Amino acid sequence: MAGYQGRRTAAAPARRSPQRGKKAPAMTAGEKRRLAQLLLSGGFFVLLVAVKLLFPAKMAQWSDGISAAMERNMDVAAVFSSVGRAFRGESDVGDSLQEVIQEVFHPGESPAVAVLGSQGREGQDGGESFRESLLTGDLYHWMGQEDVSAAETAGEAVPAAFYAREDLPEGVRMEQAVLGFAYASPLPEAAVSSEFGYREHPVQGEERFHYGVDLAAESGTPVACFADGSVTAVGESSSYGKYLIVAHEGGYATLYAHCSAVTVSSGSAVKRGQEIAKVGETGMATGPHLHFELHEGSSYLNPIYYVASAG
Amino acid sequence: MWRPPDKGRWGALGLGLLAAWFVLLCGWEPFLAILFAAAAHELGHYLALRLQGAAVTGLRLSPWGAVMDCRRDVLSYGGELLALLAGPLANLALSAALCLVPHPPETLIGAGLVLGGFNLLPLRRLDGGEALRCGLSYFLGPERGEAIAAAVSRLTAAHGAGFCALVMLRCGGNLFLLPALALFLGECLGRRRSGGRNG
Repeated sequence: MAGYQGRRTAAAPARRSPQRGKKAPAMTAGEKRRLAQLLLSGGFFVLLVAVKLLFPAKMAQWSDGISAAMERNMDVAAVFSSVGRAFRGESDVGDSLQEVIQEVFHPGESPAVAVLGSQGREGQDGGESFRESLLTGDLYHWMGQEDVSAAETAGEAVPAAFYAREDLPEGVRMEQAVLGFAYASPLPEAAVSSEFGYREHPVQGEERFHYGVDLAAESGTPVACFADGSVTAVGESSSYGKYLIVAHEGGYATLYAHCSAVTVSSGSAVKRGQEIAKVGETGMATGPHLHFELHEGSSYLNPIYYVASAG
Repeated sequence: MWRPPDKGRWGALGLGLLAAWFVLLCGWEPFLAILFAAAAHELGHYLALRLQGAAVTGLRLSPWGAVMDCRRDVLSYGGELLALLAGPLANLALSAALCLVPHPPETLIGAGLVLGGFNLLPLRRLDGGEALRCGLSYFLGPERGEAIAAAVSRLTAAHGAGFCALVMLRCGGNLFLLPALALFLGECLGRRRSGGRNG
């Protein structure tokens, strides 16, 4: 390998070694800049330590805020999977794009809860455009949870979800709540074919959270209203299929999805046990079943306590 | 006299810290998926260069990723463009190939497409920006091509920084984008690089 060879003639004096007492060569501009960067970083570190020692409570508050922000991250693997599914043609490009947007801007949040959260205890109306978007089902295109039950045939037993996970998605509560009103299972004779909680997707092999329970029944089976309330949304989406949402007292709400037909209209008052829809397999479902969700404001509750022993 | 480490080592250290930050916040799975996609990406560049007879003299690491050193002046404009686009094309080809396997790994497929797509952004440090410079230089001459590509790069970097800030503010998290925001700002505000086909 050729290296640089300095040319030297007989007349050219050899380089003198530095004499004692003389200064070493000065730093270049780049070296000075990097040194300045190091000193700045070090100074910032010292400042942080000083603030921590002088204002411990304030630092604790900032620390908690930063910790919360660090916990709130998009599921990058889910984003990659959405892109991969769209590329393979397994899902519509528009649906995948909305899934990605949902994951990027609202990590760990379900759009159904984001939608209902603005209604919650404040009443039904969060604005006309909001209601319209519910009715057109645009927001529900973001839903990715239903592909879990979509891969399962209704009526087949599936492994029970593991309830005791410490890293539950935001807005999910596993404990049973006292509703404060009379309620009834929407399908009293139906078996639970898919439970609330984390589960491994039988086709994709990825873990997803199932935000409701699936009740297996034949197509056309009447779906009963969970409790007294009023219908706040009736719509159709590629994920949920035909669905409706009923608001109950105390800020609770229930969602019924994959229906073959919805037999009540938005805004109408409904009673516990009243027929409000019929079981179907619309949306992302491979067999007839009812996907049932129970919400309290912006939180998801586990419906298993209420459909297994209605009172 | 003590002197700070050279820029090359800072780049590798910076990339290592970015990787650690990403893994801390987002986990191993997406990181390994990106690593796999990056390996395929660089392999695409390497094969395109070798097939054209260009010697690859090294691989440097920087916060923007891996940089393959080679002699560009042995390549024609078309050859250079092909070498630049070979990386994203390799990602696309690999993702397409993975679709054919039983139980296609959708995370890997998506990671390849995202990485390839990101590299096509018209940023001077990425394949897309260099390809833009190459194409513009061919039609307008090196100086004008360089100037236009640099301006487009700054504009893209500004948008990239804005997007990162928007995402972090809107969702109150996604702090793994902080280094990306800093890199975009650095590219937007940094000095104009002297590049060209002999660089």
